[in-house]
Amino acid sequence: MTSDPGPLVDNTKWVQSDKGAEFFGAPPEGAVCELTPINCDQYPWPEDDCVDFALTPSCIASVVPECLDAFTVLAVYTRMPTDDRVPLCNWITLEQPSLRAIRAGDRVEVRTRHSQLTAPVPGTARIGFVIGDEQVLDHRVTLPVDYDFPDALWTAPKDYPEGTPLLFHVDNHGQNEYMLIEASILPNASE
Amino acid sequence: MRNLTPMRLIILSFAFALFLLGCGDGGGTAISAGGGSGGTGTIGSGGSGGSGESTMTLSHRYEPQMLARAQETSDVCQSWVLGNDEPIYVKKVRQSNDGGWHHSNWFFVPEGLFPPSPSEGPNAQDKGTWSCSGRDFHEYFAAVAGGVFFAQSTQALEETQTFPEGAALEIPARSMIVGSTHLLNITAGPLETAMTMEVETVPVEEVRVRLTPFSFAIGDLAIPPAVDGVPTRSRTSMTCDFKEPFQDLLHEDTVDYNVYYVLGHYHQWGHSFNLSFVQGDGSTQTIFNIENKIGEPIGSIIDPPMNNNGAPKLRSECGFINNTDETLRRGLQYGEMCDFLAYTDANLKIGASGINNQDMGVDENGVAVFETDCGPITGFKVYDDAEL
Repeated sequence: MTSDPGPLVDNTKWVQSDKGAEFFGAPPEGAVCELTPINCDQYPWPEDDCVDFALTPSCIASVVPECLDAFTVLAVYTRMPTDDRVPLCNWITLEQPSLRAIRAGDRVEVRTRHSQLTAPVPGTARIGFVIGDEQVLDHRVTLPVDYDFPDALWTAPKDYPEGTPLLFHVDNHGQNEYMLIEASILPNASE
Repeated sequence: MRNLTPMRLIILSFAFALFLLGCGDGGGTAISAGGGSGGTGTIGSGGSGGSGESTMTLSHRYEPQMLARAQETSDVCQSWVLGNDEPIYVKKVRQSNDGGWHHSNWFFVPEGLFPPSPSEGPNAQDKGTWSCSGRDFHEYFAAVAGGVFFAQSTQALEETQTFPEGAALEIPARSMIVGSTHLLNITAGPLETAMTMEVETVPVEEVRVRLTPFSFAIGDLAIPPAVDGVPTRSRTSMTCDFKEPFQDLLHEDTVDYNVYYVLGHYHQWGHSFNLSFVQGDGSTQTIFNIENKIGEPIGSIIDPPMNNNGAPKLRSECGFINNTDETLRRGLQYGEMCDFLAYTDANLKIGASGINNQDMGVDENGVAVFETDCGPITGFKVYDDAEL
C-alpha cells in the first residue's frame, strides 16, 4: 500500500538547520548566510504565501519563498547584489518536517533549478536534498555551467512517518541563484 | 576581448541611420492591421480596456511555444506584422500569457528588417517564430531602428503598459512587432504557452503628445580588466548639452522637455545604468536608475513624466564589473555597450556618441571612473507641431 500522492514540503516553511553534516560535511571556513532580509518592505514574508521578488540593493534576501508561475518555489541567492564578490549565502542547509508519511515503495520526485553559474572559475556548486536518513538528491557541478533543472526520482525503501526531517542544502561561492521547485510523492505508477 | 569588427560597424551604422532617418509625419487616422502568423489579428472598436468610443484595440495571439519539461529558451523571437498602411498611435499595451514567460522585450521595427535566413526554408516569412540569432536580431538595434514597444516584467502572467494621459507612441506605417523571449518551464511536464497582446490605439486627433526618441551610444569604451583575478569595477559616462539643438532646430532658447520612457542597454559585464538631467552648475537630478541587473536592463515608463527643470544637459552612465583579463571595448557578443533610448516630448530626434574616453581616476568607493566627450549631436525636428 502506498501513500496519497502530494507535496512533501511547503516552501514557505523552511528554517535554517544545523543538521546534515553527515551528508554535506561541516561548513567550511568562510561559510556565511545572511538570513535576515535587508530593506525588504515585503518582509516578514506573508504567512503561507509567496512573494514577487527581485534581488536588488533596495531589498536583499538570501532565502525567499518566491512566486514563479503557479508555484511557490524556495529561492536561494548566494551573492550580495551590491558587490558580487561578497557572499550573501554561500552555505545553507534548511529543514522542515515532511507534510505526509512516506511508505515503502512510494516514488518521490524532487525538482530543483539553478541559473547559469558563472563564478568563481574554477569552482563547484552543490544542491542536496535529504529525506530522513537518506540523501535523495546530490547534484554537484564544476563551474562555469549553464542553467539546469537537477531532479531526482527516488523510491522509498522503507516507511517514513509524517514529520520526518527533510533537508535542502545549497553551497556555492559564485553569483548564482538556486531554487527548490517541489518535492512530492508521485501517483502510483499503476494509477 | 575582440574589438568592433568592420561588419559590426556597418550594422551599427545602418541601424543608427535608420533611427535618424525613420521619422514619421503622422497625419493619417486610418488604421489597418492584419493578423500575424498563427495569430488571430483583429480590429475592434472599444475592445477590452478601451477607454472611449474612438479607441481601437488590435489583438494578436502569438504562436504557442512548446517547452519540454525543464527546458529554458532564450533565443526565440516572435513577430507580428501589423500590415498598417498608415501610422497608428499607441496609448496602451496589454499582454497575457499561459505561464512560463520569464521575460520578453518587444519592439516595433520596419517590415522586412529581420528577413528569414536561407536556413529557415522557402516558406519562412517575416512573421512567426524564429531564432533571434539566426536573423541577427539584437534588442538595441531593434530599439534604434524602430522603437521600444513593450517590456514584460519578469514572470508576469498579465500586465498593462500605459503611456501618461495624452501621450502616444507613433508606430510608422508598415511596421511589425518583434519580441525576444525568454521562457522557463518549471512545471513537471511539457508546457505549451502563448502570449496574447492587445494594443489600444487612438486616432491621431486625440493625441496631445507624440513621443520622439533621444539616444546616446558611448562608442569609446575602455573598461579596465580584472587585476590578479579580482574583477575591476568601473563606470563610464557621457554628458551632452542640448542648448544648440534646441536653438537651431526648434528656435527655443530654453531647453524644456519631459521624459516619458527610458531603456538602458549594456551587456553581461554591465550592472548599473543611470540617466540624469544636469544643470548648468553641475547639479544632477536622476531620471532613471537601475543597479545590479546583470545583462539587459529592462526599460521603464516614467510616470508622471519628468521635466528637465531647465537643465540643459543630459548624462548617461553605466557601471561595469570586468572579470576578464582584457580591456573591454564597444562590441556585440564579445564586447560591451553603454547606450540608452528615451522617449520625450521634445519633438526632436537626437543621437549622440561618446568619444575621447578619459580616465578620471578612482572614486571614494574604489570604482574606476571614465568620462567621454559628447560627440557631434545629430538631430532633427520630427513634427511640425508635436502638441496636437
